Amino acid sequence: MVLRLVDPSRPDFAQQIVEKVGQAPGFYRDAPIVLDLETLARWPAPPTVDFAGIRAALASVGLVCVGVQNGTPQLTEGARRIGLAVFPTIRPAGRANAAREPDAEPEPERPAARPSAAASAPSPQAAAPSPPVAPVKAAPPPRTRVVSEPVRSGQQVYAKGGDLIVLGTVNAGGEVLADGNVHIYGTLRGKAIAGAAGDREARLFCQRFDPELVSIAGLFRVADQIGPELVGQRVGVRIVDDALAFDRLS
Amino acid sequence: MAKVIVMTSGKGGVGKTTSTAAIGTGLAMRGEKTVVVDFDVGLRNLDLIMGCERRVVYDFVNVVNGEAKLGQALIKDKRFDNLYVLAASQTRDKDALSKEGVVKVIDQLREQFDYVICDSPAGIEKGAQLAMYCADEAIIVTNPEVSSVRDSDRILGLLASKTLRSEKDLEPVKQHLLLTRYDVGRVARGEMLKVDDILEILSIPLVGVIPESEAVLRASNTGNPVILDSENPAGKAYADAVSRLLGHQVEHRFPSEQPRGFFARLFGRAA
Repeated sequence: MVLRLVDPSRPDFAQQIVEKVGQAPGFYRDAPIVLDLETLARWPAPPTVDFAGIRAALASVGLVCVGVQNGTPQLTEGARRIGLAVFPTIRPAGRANAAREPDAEPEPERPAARPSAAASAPSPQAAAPSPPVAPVKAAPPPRTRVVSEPVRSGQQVYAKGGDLIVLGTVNAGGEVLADGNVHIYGTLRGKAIAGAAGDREARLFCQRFDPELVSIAGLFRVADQIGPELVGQRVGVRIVDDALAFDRLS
Repeated sequence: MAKVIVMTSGKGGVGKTTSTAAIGTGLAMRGEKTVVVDFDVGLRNLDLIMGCERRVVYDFVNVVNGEAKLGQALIKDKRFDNLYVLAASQTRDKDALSKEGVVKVIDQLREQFDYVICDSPAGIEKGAQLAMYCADEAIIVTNPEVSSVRDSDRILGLLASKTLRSEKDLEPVKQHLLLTRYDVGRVARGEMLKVDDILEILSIPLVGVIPESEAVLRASNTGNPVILDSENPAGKAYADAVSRLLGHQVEHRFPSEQPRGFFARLFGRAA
């Protein structure tokens, strides 16, 4: 998870973090944090940042500060000195497979994220309406859940925060959901939902396609709305131009 | 080591009780000391099919509630010395059974018998869940039609989560598929599901395919389990299923749906 530092010198810095984490304590527990210094780097005179203090403030709410990114050498030197990793300079983009402009991407899966107007406010005084911190983008290692038994009628399997791999079939009346991608190596006869938390880049793949319903990030189609030519085929589903697109996989 | 087998299906009318009577009798015929237990409290039928309905004094609910001793409620079969029936109560409902009471009675039966066959009521509610709770193995009775297959799928899910074995993290309940009322002619015409299609959906091993037969209803009406009729295809198919349950390798008699197969021709004449 990335925390963009906008003005770490503000006295309510720690308080803001406590509030943010308090909105979803389970979500943030033990989350690794990378401090993004891009905003600070654009200040006319980059400030001295108390990295040890920030690390302690994060630790007090259960977050683990692991490193910094997008800083100037001068900024990162302080971080390096207290043992934080310095990550290569990258733009705070989306997932590796994101095809869109990353900054145009809304982040429905980040309920706690607030729009950051701070990037255009180099002066601490002018940044009044914006919080000094704003989580920018999650980058946790996705957790994959593997299901080796058939998913039977009435059963529901949810891979929270990651991908779901089903080795067998998903039978009619069964449901598989994942916040990430869904892969089904058997026949999909039930419901499959990828991007359950709103990730529009999530995809769905299955070896034999005969679903009751497929959905990605809230867009869905029921069996009647899916062409019969896809039934029994190897199919991939994704979002293209705000609609579900079905690809036959060769 | 006694084995507790539940006959279950989710859907009603697929042949659970008929199959319980046939397989219970078949196990007794092979020398296994067997008891068939009717869990369908309030809709008691197993005693009829077993032909002992005029000898029921105490029933399963009486034993669970401590109103009768197990020995008083067990009805000995007239044909086989090693076959017993534990009837359900007709005047009570499914709430009359408690999980603790059922576990206690089944444990007592385990001590006395080689096989305890539990005839589950239809549905997925308390009655059906109690019937499967103590099971070591399950026979899923399924007709070759979509609703029956879907209900069987649902029951398989419950077997994986609502049994003593799942709660104690023991080896899962061993599952067998028993296809009943299988009509080769209708399968050939595409009116019924094929064996292979059903196996593909349910993905559990097949213990037997019982052909549709008039003899089954006749047997039920007279209280003589159809397995006693060794000339009848349904009786033979049940006997094969019993062999497979006992661990013998027996070729399936109707493995494919060849319209010109022996049974199809037989059926063609009858139609």
